[in-house]
Amino acid sequence: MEQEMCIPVNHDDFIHDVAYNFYGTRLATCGSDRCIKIWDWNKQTGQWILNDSVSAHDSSVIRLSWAHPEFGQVLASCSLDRTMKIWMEADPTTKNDIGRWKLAATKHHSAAVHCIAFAPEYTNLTIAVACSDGKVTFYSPTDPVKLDDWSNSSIIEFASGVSTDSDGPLCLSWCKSRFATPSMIVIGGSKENCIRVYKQAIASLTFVEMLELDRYESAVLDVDWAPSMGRSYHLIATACSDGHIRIYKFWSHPSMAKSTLSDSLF
Amino acid sequence: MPRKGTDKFVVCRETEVVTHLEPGLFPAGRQSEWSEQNRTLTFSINPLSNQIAIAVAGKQASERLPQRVPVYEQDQSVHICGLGGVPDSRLPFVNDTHAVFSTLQNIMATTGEERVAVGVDSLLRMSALYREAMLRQIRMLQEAGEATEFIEAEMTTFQAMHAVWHLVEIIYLTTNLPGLSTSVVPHFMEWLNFNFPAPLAEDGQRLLEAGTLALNDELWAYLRKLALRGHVSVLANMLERVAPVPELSAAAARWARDVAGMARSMPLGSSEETAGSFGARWRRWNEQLQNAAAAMRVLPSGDAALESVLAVVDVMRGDADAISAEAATWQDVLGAVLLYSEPTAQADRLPALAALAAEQFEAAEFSKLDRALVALLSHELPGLLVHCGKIDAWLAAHLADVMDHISILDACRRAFAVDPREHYLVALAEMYMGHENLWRVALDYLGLCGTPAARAVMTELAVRIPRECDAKAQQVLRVCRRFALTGAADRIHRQLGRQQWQRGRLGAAIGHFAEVGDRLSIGRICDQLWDQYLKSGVLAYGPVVDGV
Repeated sequence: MEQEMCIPVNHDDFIHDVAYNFYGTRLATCGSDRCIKIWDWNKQTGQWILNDSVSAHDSSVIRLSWAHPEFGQVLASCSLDRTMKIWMEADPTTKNDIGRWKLAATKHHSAAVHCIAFAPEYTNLTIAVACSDGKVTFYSPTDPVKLDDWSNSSIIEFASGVSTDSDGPLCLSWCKSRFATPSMIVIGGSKENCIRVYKQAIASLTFVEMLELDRYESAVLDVDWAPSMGRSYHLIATACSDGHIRIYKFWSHPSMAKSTLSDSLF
Repeated sequence: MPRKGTDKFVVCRETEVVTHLEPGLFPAGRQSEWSEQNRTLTFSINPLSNQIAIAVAGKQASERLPQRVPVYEQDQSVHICGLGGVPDSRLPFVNDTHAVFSTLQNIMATTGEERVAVGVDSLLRMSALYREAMLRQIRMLQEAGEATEFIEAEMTTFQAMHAVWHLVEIIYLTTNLPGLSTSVVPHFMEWLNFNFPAPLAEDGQRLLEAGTLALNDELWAYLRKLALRGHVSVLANMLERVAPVPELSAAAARWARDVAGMARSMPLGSSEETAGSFGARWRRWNEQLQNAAAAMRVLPSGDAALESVLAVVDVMRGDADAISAEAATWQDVLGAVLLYSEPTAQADRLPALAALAAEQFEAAEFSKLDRALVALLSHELPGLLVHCGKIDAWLAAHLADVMDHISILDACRRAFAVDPREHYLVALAEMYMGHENLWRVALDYLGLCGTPAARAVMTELAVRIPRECDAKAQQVLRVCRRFALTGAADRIHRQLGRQQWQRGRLGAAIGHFAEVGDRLSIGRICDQLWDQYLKSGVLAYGPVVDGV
């Protein structure tokens, strides 16, 4: 794998996340310098150009998530300052590279926010926010145009009892299949070191536990739900501090679940 | 333990596919030290190409560290890394072969009742067009000027692709046809001498011009190589040039002339001659060689030139030991065995003979091309596709497609966890998507692949194509209509509607939302216009209605 080019992002401290947008034409970075930087790919020059640099939070910015472009140029960030913020590009036609991104909304939490992820666009504009208090909160905008007011639509209490930062962060990933109804999300981490899949109840729109995939002796660092691409089953990968990556295959419909592993891909 | 009804796979270091970043982002051998300084790597995969954005990241936020860890300049970059894309130099080849691929799919879809006969002829024509494209690319690379590492690598790849493709054509399209009894030998020798030329003509010219022919050891090695590769006319000419040389002994000179004559009289098969008649001529000719060899053996030893002439005769009479002694590659062995021991062999003899030839060489030293060719000759089609995939994604994809059209892929589908034609075509299309000028070609490959999984990939890729201008957006929508990607078209219309709305082009926005029946968004735009009127007192929706 060869290095094709290098972008000197020049955060004044550690970088914590890098995220391409939906088309791969924009790149956002964030770090311990509390800033978010957004870069645009210039097709003519073949270079990445700085679009904006935002002093985003009062503490290290940990994670970024781009919304689907159907909702406009929307970027979410989360931080150790216990907030999740929604940023919108004010006017994409301006040439001024300062102040193009405006803060649209801020949501406060009781503990550091380590992970956020926008839902796939066909579930409407929803963002999941994972907090060190062991809870995952789901927000949706009341006004899908201005995006300045987001209401809490559901909460998952992932960890039983009180959780703190020392119990380890939560991580999450949405099911990206267009044909998965209801919506599903996988969450892992915290003090229980387990991985659970939740599905959204159709009537109440709250999320309920669907199954616990596994439980570990060591901390869960990350989870990811693979795009379905026409498969009849789902694939979820987990990364643990024991140094292993585990890939799980499961069926969302109990009738399709295999009682043995005879059809295993592996 | 995973829940019953689920399945788990743990990635092991021994089995994982490892891709190393060159150059690395931390000093070699000092990973632990680097990691202890709060460093790790973070990445984001480009949704449309084979690129990954990688950066040195902090495991923990700075404020969580017990003491400040300095951050250096080399930690302050995002590195865009590629897993191999399509270089611009390949664009003509990609476009040419895309046209052939599209034509082939259309032909095979419309041949109807006479599918088999018409299909094979068409496949042969298309196969020849593919090879022409490869040869054009090779010529282009040869004429490129300075031989850089990249050009050398591309030359090697395309020469390997041509070698495999040519042999597939010979085995499955030219000779191995139902009702057709054709020897594979002349085609194989043509393939061997075209794709692995030896010995080189310029070497022979150099030897002739050097003088002191008989004393030149290189000459005799050259003559033995000519015999090995069946260049009997050139061999005869050179023996006749050497024979009168004064330094040669009388016996060597006499046998050089006689062997030249035998080389010229080597029987060649024709379509008008029966196998039996050809076989009789061949046996007579072989007997001449056997007698010549026997006669030379009783002569006094120590005559190097005579021993070399004897070696030539031994090769031509099909002596396995002599062939093995002269051969530099397993292809040399196989060619000589076919030419001199089984001149009427058909394609079904290739697996056994190829195995015998290959086992004389160290398999561990085989190149990717060697492995692919051995798999092909042994009719190990799953192995062939896998090795071809390592040579180049184009080769595996198009080979799987042709194999499917010839109906030989069905027999080996069970060896794969997924449909191999679909797998390789989708992989090729995804590689093409990484090049900004090949998105249309990529979508065509996915569309013509015709499987549900390919359509699913196509849908996801179509909505991710950046639409820098209205013209390109319309182009993407046309592709969606062509392949009936209604879901993708809907999503694109919504995105375009939203963009136009943000730019204030309300008429265009309403048009896009109307395409997908999004009454809610249209209603909100109308509310916006109504609010404007209430505030300003001016009816500004005339242009909007015109736009709609």
